[in-house]
Amino acid sequence: MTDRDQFWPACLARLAGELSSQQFNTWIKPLTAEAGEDALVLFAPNRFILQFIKDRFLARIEELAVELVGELPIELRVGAPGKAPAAPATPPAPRPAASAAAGSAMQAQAKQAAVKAIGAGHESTRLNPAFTFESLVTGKGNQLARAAALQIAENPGDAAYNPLFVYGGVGLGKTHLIQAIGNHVYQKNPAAKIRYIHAERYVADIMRAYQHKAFDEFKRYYHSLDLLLIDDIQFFAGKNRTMEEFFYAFNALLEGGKQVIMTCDTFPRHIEGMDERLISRFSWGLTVEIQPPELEMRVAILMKKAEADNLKLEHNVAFFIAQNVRSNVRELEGALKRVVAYSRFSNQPITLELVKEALKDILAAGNRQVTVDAIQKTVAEFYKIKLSDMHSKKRSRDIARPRQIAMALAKELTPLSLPNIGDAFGGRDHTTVLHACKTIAELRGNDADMANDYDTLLQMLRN
Amino acid sequence: MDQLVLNLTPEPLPAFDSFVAERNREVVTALIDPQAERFLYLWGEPGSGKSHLLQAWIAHAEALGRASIYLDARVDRLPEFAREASFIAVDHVDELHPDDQITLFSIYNSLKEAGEGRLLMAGRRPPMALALRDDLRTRIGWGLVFEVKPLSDDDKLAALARHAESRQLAIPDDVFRYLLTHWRRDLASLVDMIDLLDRYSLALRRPITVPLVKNILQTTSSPS
Repeated sequence: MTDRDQFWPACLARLAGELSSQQFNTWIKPLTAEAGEDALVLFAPNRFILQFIKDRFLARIEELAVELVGELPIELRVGAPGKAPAAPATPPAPRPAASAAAGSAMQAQAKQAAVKAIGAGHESTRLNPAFTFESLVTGKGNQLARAAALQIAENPGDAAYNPLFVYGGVGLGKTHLIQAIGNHVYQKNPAAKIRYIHAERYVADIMRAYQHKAFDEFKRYYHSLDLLLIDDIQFFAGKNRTMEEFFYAFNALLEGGKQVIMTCDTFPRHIEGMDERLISRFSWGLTVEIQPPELEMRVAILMKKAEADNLKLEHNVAFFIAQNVRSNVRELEGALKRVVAYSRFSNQPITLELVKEALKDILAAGNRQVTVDAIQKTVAEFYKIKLSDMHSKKRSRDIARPRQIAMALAKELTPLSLPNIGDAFGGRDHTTVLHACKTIAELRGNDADMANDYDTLLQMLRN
Repeated sequence: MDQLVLNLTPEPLPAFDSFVAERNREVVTALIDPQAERFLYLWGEPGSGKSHLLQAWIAHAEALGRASIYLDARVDRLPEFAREASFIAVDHVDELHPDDQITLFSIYNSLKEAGEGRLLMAGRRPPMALALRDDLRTRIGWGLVFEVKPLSDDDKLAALARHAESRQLAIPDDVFRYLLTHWRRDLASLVDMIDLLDRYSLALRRPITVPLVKNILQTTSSPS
């Protein structure tokens, strides 16, 4: 039936619209479809992709099938369709969000040329030329922040986005993101006065300027910038001199229509010991959050990193590392370094076996794996409710809310699937767990206390 | 009266070749490979040889003619001038004072920014489990991380025999084995004990034997 033949292209088009391009390129694009006798067979290049599709996307694909062509069973298999071996399988390696058609070689060349083009003048910016939008892996956790960053890179100084305040946990790529803005602005206008500085350095520089009676110079320099990027602004907290000076610099820059960009480990209101005047100013422009990367994004980050280092990394290997190193991007990259070092040391190619061997100590250390039981117990104690309430059917808010938090934590901290988590909470449906995760994610965005509670629990469970 | 001992013992510099590296060869390889990652972190139980490795690494850097500095967070606060060095070793990071955590963080960043220089750190726990500032902890985990495996008993016997040989001491094997079961088991304590035995043996003018060791262990304060 033609209907069925047309379903997959139509389905692809819909999924492309619904998913981030990273998700789509990593998971959906490697699939090939073949209309079987009574089902549509989707071939995945390996069982990791198959498993992932099954867990995350199969339900949606089935829904689309119902919607587009009526009842159509979907079957998943590993391999390639038998009848069309001519069509080369799409490489499973994820491509950056840029147009997929463009040859990646050309892209790489262009990038290299760009990096080379950044010359001596670039040095004064203190930007790392490797931190660009092209090399930034995008996923759910940072797509909003990236979109805002791109806007600013195109139009620095636009009052709607000034200042840009980027916050999120450590090791999630805040520095990369803001430096990408700096590099982009520099590319467009090498004459722009740009300065990236870590807040800790800024504090030290102020002290030095005082000691050397070079304060006017210091001031003139910072007030004359076109783009100021300050990393980890929370370092200013409690340092009155610094906050005062920064206050003036900030005002001068904003009045002159110059762009200020800051990163912080927390939401402006939550920085303890920060000057109120600064806190309110931080919120004048745009405040965006970067969240921890999901599994698929971690895979993409590893593949990207490997590509940048000219390493051949199999998808299943990247998947294994991403699955086991979950805390933050830095440790993820650290794990990859360890694998590469071990491969070099033992003179063996990077295989799954080698990775398991190389990461043995890291895995053993991380394998004080958090269990659902531990999560339930910790959360129950934290909110002073009974452990049995975690499994009970009670729906009053003072019990349901902690239960939802525990579910969200279970999703974040354990490798369990949603149905498994549902089971662990008194046999609840996986949609209940999904709802809990969404609710908590929303609450964390709007409700400072909730965000705080959640982070505290996360810390307690990780240590 | 006991013979007075003229203290002529050489202070041996820790060196990689005196590190019994059977299970840790990969670590040593990474430490001396000029192409390797510039940020390294070693973790492992006390007595597994981390400090020895750090000091050997510094000696190695000196031999290469690089400005280097060994800092021990347990003993001293980190000096601000440390950042002037290009090979920086920081021992016992678990015990860094909060202000020193910021200093190390800043050193890390400036080395990273500079694109040269190396930083080798050591602590008891893996990066994720370190009770340090988040921004520092994740940076420690960003580099190349190794667990330094404690030496096996055979490794320790070999290391002790080698140490005795370097001092030109004739010590029967059963003395080493006796020490291994009756004295602290980390290599540093064992090596110190060999040196102590050497002095006793000279002072008492008796060869080093198990009975002598027994005697000395009884009179020396018991292992804490």
